[in-house]
Amino acid sequence: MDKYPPKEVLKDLIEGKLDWRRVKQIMSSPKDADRFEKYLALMQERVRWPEKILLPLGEHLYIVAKGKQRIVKCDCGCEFGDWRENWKLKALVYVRNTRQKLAEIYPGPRSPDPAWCEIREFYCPGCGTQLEVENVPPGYPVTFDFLPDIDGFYAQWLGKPLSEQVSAEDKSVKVTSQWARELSRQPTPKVARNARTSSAARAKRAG
Amino acid sequence: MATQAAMQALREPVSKSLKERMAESEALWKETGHYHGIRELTLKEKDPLRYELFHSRLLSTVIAAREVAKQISSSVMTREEGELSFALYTPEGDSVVFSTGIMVHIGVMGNFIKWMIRNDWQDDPGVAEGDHFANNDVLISAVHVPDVYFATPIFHEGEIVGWSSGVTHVLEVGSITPGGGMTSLAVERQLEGIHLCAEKVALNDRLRRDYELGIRRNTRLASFWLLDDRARITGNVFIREEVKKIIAEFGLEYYMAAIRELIEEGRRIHLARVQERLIPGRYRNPCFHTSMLKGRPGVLPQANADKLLHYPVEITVRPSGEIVLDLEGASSWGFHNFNAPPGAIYGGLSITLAQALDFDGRANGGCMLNVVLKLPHGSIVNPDYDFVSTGFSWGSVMAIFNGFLKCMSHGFFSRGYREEVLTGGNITTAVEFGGKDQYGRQTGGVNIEVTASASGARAVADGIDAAWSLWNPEGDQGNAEMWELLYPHLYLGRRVVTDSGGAGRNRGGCCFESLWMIHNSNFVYTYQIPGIVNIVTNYGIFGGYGGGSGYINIAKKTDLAERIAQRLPIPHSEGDPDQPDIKRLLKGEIITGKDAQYISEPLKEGALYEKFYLPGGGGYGDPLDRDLGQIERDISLRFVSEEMARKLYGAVGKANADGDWTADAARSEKLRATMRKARLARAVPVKDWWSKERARIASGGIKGETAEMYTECLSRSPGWTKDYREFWALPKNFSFPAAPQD
Repeated sequence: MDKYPPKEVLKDLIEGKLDWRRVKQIMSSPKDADRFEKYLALMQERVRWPEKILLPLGEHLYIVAKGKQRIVKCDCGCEFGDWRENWKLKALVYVRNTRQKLAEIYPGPRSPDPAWCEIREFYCPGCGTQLEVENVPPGYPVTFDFLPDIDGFYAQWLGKPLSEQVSAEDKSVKVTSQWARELSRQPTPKVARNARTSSAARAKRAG
Repeated sequence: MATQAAMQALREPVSKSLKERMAESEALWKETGHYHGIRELTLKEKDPLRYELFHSRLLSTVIAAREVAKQISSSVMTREEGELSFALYTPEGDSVVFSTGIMVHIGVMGNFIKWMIRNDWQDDPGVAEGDHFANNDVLISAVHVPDVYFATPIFHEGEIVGWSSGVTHVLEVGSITPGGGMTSLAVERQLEGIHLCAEKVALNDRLRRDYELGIRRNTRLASFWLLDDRARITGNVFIREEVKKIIAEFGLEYYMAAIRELIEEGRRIHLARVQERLIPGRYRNPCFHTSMLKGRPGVLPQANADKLLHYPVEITVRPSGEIVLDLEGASSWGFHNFNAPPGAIYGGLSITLAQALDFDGRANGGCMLNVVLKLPHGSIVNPDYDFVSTGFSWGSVMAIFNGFLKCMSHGFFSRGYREEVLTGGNITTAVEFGGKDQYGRQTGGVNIEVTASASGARAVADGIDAAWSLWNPEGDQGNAEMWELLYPHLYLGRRVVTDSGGAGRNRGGCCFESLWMIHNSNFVYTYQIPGIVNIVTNYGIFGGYGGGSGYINIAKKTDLAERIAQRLPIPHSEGDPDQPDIKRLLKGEIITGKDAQYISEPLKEGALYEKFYLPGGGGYGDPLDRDLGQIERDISLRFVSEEMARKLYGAVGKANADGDWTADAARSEKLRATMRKARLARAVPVKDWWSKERARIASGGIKGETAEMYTECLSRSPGWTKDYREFWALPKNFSFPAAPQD
């Protein structure tokens, strides 16, 4: 398979140093089968910590092997815990849910209505980088954008199985359940008087 | 080796009905997991040059058919914007090759052909050489009313050896209000306009006179519709006659075997592309749209509501390469025109995959064979109401597939193919017109110059400004002068909208706006095709923001004529969104409507209508990482204002005497460091925010249309409901407070 682009050109591509003509050339060429290996090597060179990168997850985030664990790590060194738990749950969040806060991003009438939509900015606690932005209605769960099947990828697509196989099971609920347990020492949230249970709702619809 | 049944099927033509042949083909797929039971690509392996030549001949035929057809149409949409597409199908309705253009319809047109076969159209009304069958009925297979399909059979020595089919987007369909059938007021199917239900509309390549009369009597811009019909017939006939020449050159046996081998090869290349460019796993991106009908003039009682619509996109890429798109948790169908039946979702998925993954393979029906759609019955993406309106299914499709693109981009990024990463872009919105035109005639129609607007940012480049759409890779706005010939409005301006691209290390593409003046008419209604208000609908990625929500400006009874007579400045674009030119320069009745489904009172000569094709594209990466040189360019082009450069990008500088703006690198770095510190100071751990939000949800703090959306989704989707309650650690029987009754 074609080896283009070589590692140094790939580095320029990632850093945005190629002009559009050369970017287009790469887009239009057959893909280089060794891209992932070159990519991992480049990413590893960029970070200052020793853990081996298993999978780049975002502009500043990686899934890395740390001892026997696989964790999400920022390039500043900040760690976000098990890769199967949504990394956002370990981030800092700033929610734009007032007209004033939204207008800082969207001028004039382009601003959304905070009763319908809020902007959640997730920052790295270590370096303050804005890692992801969500635009969702108030009350929407935090989205677990991508849960990769790392072992399926390494074993079945790369033909290079990792030493230990781990099921790609979403473990995020463990985190929120733990938070709830901690909160349970405090008073349970009161359900509004006009809130209905599902069964009550069904009964009402059935007349 | 091919199975015995497959070999038998390859020895065509055989004197079997199309229905029998389709059943055989489907059985072979189920039995072998290979299209038509083709286990080996024999023709390719035996003589690859001949095979490639054959493919090139077919592909160039359908592309040429599109170009020829354009010259027959006189519609701005078809002729200038390129809103048409053509394809060649097997006798059973599987696409072999297709042209560029509105490719979203290729698989959907194939399903229209399959519907005719399944419903014995071969017996009644019969299928003969020179017949053309028309369809725009979503309940058969279509996306929405204005996209009209024509399919014609291709015969060889008395046997059907394939079909050619073409689509154009017509300008007017005779719906409840003038325009392209996408009006908000068409909240039931019967209000959408003319439905052609697999109707035989042409014999011997000539339109039936009774059909023509029906179009003339029941639409408002009939001459354009009928010329579009002739464009489709021309394209189909072009393909048919070229295929006959190709059969004469290559032989029938080769033709029949090769078209199927191309589809099986398309399937294999698609699977290889998935495994080459993505990562197996689960991808999620919730998508939303708004439908704003409450209190609007002319709305039927059952539709009198504002709604927040929910499409929780989840994609699973399996190690086998199979892609599963699951929309469990989607809103119910409703009395609005955003309902998107499975055919529309299928079309949206096929065009997204064709552009993001399959573009350099054999893009054809084979690419969709290993894709699974999970569309909940009774939901907005699989309605169970016979009279459901689907006039603007496109709004839902665009929202969903912007989210789908973001999901795939996570895979491209992790795999290292950063050049393929693309965030959410342009979402359709346009304007329909009716009343009297500048020639004094009754008229109606739609302006869809939005076909070229903003793309999302890439990982390796900014988004495309005012020149992109997901549904048509060759999107074009059409010349303003041609639109002016068609409708009673003059362009005072058409310009890129400053600060409309989602901020990010790479900026989302900017959208554009048009400012029209009603001209030579005193009776023009405008009907805004639903855009997005109240929410940010498309997405950035890795710290980039999505594009902003929509609005319009309308000016009536102004001093515009006097200002023109006195050669005083008049508005040509928005200027500062907080103090728009239309308000700053004019006196009169001026409305800024955060109402993307605006229905106007009749506008008169000199009234202005300013249309913003928001949202701009989503951004990529943290805006504080953006290169200062790019910001200098943005400011010089007025794509970004100095104020937003400071607020969003932490870039400060100054303009010289010529107005060229230069960033001050040292001051900007200092500002950026301060902004990062400010983030850390104002943000809270997610855990703390989660605790407060949980309490707010439990205590009924979520209200209005948002609460109604949750109530609906929680009542109909066990899986999504479980996830919702578990995330917030809410009681298993939790539901939202009842919506207040009017």
